[in-house]
Amino acid sequence: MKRTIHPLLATTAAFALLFASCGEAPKASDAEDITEVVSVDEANENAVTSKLVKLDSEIFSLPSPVQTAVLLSKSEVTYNEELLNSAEKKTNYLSQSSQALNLGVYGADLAYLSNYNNAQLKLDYFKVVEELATELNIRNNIDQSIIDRFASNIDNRDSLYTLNANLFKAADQYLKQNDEEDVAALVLTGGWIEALHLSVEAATTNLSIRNRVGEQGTAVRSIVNLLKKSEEAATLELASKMAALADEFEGLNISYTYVKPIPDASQRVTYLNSKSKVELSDEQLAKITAQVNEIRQMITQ
Amino acid sequence: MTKHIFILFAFVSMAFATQAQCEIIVDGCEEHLTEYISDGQFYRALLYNDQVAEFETTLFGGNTYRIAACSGEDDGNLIFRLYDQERNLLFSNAEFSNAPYWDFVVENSMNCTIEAQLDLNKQDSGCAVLLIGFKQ
Repeated sequence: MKRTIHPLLATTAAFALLFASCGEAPKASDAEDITEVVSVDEANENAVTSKLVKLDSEIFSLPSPVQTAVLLSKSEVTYNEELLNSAEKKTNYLSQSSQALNLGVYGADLAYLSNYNNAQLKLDYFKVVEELATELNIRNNIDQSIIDRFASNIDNRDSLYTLNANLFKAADQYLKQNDEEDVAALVLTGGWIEALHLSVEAATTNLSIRNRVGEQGTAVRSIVNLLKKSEEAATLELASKMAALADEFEGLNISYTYVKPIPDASQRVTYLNSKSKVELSDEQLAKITAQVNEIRQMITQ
Repeated sequence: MTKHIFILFAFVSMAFATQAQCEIIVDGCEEHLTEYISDGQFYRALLYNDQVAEFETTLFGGNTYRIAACSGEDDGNLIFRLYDQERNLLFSNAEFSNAPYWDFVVENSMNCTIEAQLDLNKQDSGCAVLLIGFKQ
């Protein structure tokens, strides 16, 4: 027997769901989700096949700055302090969006610093991260043990990677659970652009890093899609710059050949053996570098 | 009308309970990521019936990734699938008793789509949480 749901009831239920996951009233970007929830419910009544819910205001994925730091370490990239965003500039960041972006920037710098021996600088950058997290009301929601363990592991690179990643995951979780996904997106964007900034110079001479730079096309497209939902002029300007950067990645020659994966159930592992290759010329790298530097300047000024 | 109000109340209660449930699920799910470095992100969606949540990600060559997928109080309530950029199915945990986590050794970098869906035999609504970790 076909069952129907009163349209008002369905709409109200969708709002109830949103409010349950929100600390404040729904934003413009949430309107898409409301429509989707209701339309999916209606479609379910017609008993069609599985429904795809593109929750792009909630789910997106960007490469971790820690992952970049690991690659830079593995590639034995020489330390260059001039690449970092000065900790002294932290006081310049007064708006929520600039604080969020630069929390990501400093987090990426901290991941980079984990590779080298400069305990005081690591502590300085950690302090800046902690202060920005406090100003964004995130700090109290980060496990104190992460904070405490940072200082006691200052010379342990692998521990610093883990602590950095856990700190930013805790921040991401808190922001998303409190309907501040726009802020979460800015933190991730800042971290992503800084990680790229730290990589492009080494990419001129190191093939692994050059490939990693060339493989950022999906990430930059995700960022553009996220930022362009904003109603803030500065964020929209950033989205526009990111879109220009995305265009540079569109021009890269990337080949992909599917190879059947090999699962090993006993070890709970699957070997993904597909082949891919990205071609990034010196000229293309120079253009990407120039745009990354311009965007990074815009964020950190 | 009374019936509608009752159903609405049930919806509201369920929604708030689901949100609280998300936080509990994350704690349990994180236990599957020990020895892996988190990608620093938290992926969650509130799913009903056969809804499918998806997102794109890049898995970089030379890394081993662990994807953990959790919903509800017990392991195995969430089905997750990994597709490549040509929509070839690379993995589905449904083929392995809805394993709550799985590792992927990545030879060359790949743009992938991850989908998550409730196993309707076990759960028809709730919070779905995905976590990704990596190591080199």
